[in-house]
Amino acid sequence: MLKPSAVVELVWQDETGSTAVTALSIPSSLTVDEIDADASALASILVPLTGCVLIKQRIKYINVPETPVTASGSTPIARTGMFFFATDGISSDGLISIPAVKDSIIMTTGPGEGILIDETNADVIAFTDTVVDNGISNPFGDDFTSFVIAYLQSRV
Amino acid sequence: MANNTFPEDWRDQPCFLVTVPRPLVPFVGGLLKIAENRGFWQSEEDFTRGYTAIIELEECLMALCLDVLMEKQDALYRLLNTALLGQGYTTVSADPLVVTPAIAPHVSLDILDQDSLLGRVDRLTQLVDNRLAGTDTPLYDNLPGIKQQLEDIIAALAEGTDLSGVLSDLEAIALLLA
Repeated sequence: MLKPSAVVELVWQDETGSTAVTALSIPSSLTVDEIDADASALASILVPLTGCVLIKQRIKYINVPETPVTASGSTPIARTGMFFFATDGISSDGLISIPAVKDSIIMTTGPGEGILIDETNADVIAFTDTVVDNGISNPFGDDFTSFVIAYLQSRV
Repeated sequence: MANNTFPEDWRDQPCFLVTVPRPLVPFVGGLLKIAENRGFWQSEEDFTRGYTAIIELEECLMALCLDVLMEKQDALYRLLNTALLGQGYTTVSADPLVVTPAIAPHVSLDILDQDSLLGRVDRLTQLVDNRLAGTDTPLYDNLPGIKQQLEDIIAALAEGTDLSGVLSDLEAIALLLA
């Protein structure tokens, strides 16, 4: 369920490099371009009021389940599955992290025992194929073209 | 503000091999997370280069186990020892990998199988020694050498003796060479 309001975050930075955020709510019925234009207009008005500079603005549409849900497993969230993907061979590779990955997709034999994610697992294949086939990209906008490797990292 | 820069020529610079114990891999990888963020780097260009290098490093953390690398090196050694000298090997178990005989600290030039590369060279050497010089070798000691045959022919011609015996030996050699 899409929440009725989107969040605009204006990220400010002072001369020491410290950052702070001005958060605003705005109707989520507006398009990204409309919200971006409104945020830019507001930011320009705020500039005379602050000694900071605007370094970034974020727009977040928030979608939540209709009813609250609770995880039933005991997998710690820091147990993160890191999935690495290649682009076209010229641009940078990239990654997608999935928290609290299940034991069932972790290799139980071989050098990667207990850490390496089983790339022959049907659920893993379904995920990696979907990433490659649906234009997911690295931070620079380059589409992932193939799956490289996946394993556990400890991330908070 | 982070002032971390990353050189344009980073791919041309030396690399260092570090072995990471398997239980430490998740933590080492997790600690690299900070360098995946734009804010860690001074400029957009530094971010692009630094992010690329960090991601490739994270991929490498699990790409090549040192045990696997060493096993492949041992396999290459066995391939050479079998092909060159004819040493045979037997896989006792696959996991963990146990192969006998164990790799020795050094090898001699003793040929263990005449079908190995050096064994075949040795066979050719013995053949030439035997056929040309008439030297008895472990593999060839059947007939007088060609050199001796020629000397016998020359001696027979000079003395006007019967050449039938010599010719018979030459025919046998010709049959062997056919």
